[in-house]
Amino acid sequence: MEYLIYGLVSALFFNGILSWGMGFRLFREATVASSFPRPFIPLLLAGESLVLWILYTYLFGFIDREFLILFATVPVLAGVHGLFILVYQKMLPDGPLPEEEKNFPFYNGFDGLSLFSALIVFLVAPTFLHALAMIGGITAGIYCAFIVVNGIVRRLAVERSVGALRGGALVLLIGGILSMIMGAVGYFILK
Amino acid sequence: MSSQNRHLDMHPFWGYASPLYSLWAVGFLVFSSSSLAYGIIAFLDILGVFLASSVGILSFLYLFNIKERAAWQILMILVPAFVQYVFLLALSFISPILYLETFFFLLIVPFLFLSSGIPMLDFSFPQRVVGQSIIKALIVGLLGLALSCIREPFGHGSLTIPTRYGAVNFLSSEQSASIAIQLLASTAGLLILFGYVVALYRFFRRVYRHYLEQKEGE
Repeated sequence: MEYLIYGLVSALFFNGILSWGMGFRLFREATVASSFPRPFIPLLLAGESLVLWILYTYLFGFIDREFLILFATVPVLAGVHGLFILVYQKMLPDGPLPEEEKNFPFYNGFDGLSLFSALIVFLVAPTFLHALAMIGGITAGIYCAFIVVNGIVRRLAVERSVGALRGGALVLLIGGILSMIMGAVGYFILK
Repeated sequence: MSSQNRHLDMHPFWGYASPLYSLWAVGFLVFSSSSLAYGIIAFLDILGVFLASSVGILSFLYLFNIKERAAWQILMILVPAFVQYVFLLALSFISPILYLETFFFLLIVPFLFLSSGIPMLDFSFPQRVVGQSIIKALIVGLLGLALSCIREPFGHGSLTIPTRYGAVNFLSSEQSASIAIQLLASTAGLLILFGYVVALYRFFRRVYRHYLEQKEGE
C-alpha cells in the first residue's frame, strides 16, 4: 500500500507539468509541439533516475551524503545525464525539429525533466522499492501529461488563437491549468 | 534574413536564447519566485555563478589553451559546478536555515548556465561572453524577483527577506492573506502567470521586429 501511495503521489504531483518548464524550449510554435509525445522520453527519465539513485545510495553511500550533495551532485548528474542524452539523440528520428535538438544537446527539454525527476527520487525515496514506485509514477504522470498537452496543442494549431499566446505561452497556461487539476485530484484522493 | 532581424535573433533579451523566448529557466523560476527571500538568494546566486563561471572558463582557456572538445565540455560542467559549490558553502556558513531551504533549486543553476546558450558563444571574444553572462543572469534574476513580489504578497499575504536566521517576514497582513488569490503562490499559478508574461513579451517582440523592419525599409 505504501509503495502504491508513493507511485500515486509521484504520478500526480511530480509529473511532467512541473518539470516541463525546466528546459522545454521547443514550443516556439504550436506546430512544433505537435511532434510530441515521444513515449521513450518518460522511459529514459525512469532509467536515469534509477541509475542516479543506485549510484548515490549503493556506491557513494559510505561517504557523508550532505557533502556529496554539495560537491558531487552536479558533475555526477551531468555525467550520467550526458550518457542518457547520447541515447536520446540516437533514438531521435530525422527531421527539422530533431536537427535542432541535435545541435543543442543541453538545450532541449529532456534535461529539465530528467534532472528534476532524478533529484526528486534521490531526495525522497528511502529504499529501492520506494524509488521504483516513484519512478513508475513519474513515468506514468509525464506520459499522461504529454498526451493531454499534445492533444490540446494539436487542436489549437488548427483553431484561431491569439498570436502572442501561441507556442510557449500557451503550453505554460495549459501546464498551469493541468497542474491545478492534477494537484486537486491528488489532494482529494489522498485525503 | 535581414541584418536587423539577425541582430534581433542574436540579442540576449529579444533573441532565441533569451529566457523569455526559449523558456530555459522556468523550472528555476517556479522554485525561486515562491518568496522574496528565495528570490533574492536566487538572484545573487545566478549572477555570481554566471559571472564567475564565464570568467573562470575564460581564464582556463587563456592559461591552458584548451582545444580538445571533450576537455572543453568537461570544463563547461566543472567550472559552474565548482562556483556553485563555493556559493552553497558560503550560504551554509552565513545562514544554515536558508541553505537547507534553497539548496534544492540552487543545484539547477550550473545546468542553467549550460542551457543558457553561453557555452555556444565564441570564447575568443571575452567581453561579449562576460557581457552576455551578466545580461542573461540579470534577466532571470530580476524576473524571479518581480514574480516573487507578485506571488508572495498575493499568495501568502506577506513579504520576506533573507537573514542569518532564515527568511524573516517584514510585512504581513492577515487581511490580505484571507482575500488573496492564493492560487498565485502555487506552481500552477506561477505557470499561468508566466504564460501571460511570455505572451506579453512575444507581443512586444513582434512590435519591435516590425519597427526594425520599417526602419530598415526607410
